[in-house]
Amino acid sequence: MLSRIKEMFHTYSYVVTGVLFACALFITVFNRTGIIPAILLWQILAVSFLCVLGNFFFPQHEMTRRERIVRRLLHYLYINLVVFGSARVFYWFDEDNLLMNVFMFLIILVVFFTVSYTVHRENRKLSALLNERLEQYQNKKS
Amino acid sequence: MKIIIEDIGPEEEEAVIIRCREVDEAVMQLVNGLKLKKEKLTVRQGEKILQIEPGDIYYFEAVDNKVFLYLEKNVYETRMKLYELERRFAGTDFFRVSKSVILNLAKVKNFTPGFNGRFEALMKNGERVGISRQYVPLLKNKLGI
Repeated sequence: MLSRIKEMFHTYSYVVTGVLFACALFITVFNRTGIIPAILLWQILAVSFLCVLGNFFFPQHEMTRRERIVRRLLHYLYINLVVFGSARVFYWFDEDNLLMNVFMFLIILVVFFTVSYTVHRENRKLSALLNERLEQYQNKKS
Repeated sequence: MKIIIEDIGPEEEEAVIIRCREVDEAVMQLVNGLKLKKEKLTVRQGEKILQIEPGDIYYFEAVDNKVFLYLEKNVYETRMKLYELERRFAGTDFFRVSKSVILNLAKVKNFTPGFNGRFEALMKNGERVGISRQYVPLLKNKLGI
């Protein structure tokens, strides 16, 4: 459980960065005054935290390819629900403005895949290191 | 280092004595290697009882309260529990990678990243075994990372 929490905090740092980037972009495009309330910073942290809770969509046990795809999809839908829900609660955007909705949808897509890709790339680096050490381990034994 | 091998009579018990200044990694590897060679596992296959060399085992897996050992092509059931096997092969190439699997690192071809922090071990016989993320730090430790 502890390792899972640690990993969640690790992912949290990526998500906060992504959400911050998305907010900066959104404010630049739609809020020309450039004035933002201080509470927005807390809202970013809270929304990022809710997004990271989506990691619990993935169990510890082995998953089939089909289950993986379904859970990934559910995770993505959950993120959309959290961000659009928070946007509504915190009055981040005008719901009737189609452009704002589309922009929000696209930015979620970009942040979601960027964070997923970054985490995957880290794991690929780790697996390369594990393979290098495995080779050394096996050579030492033989 | 001197290596002394003595012939003994058939009635005498075989023994290995290691005389060293300190028990370092090399000594432990020697001990574990001997353990693996000596401790054959008894398994049943229908009416037959077989002795399996631990070095030939790819991995152990617990499924529905039964423990199976996987060789290159064959699968056998053992009456030992997974935690007993873990204790018995502690310090050898056998390493726990999930709640239900202990795999033989000597039989791993490579590791690949799985999904959501998990990894997969591709075994030398082409099988894939999942590594739970909570065991990844222990695996890193075992391989000296």
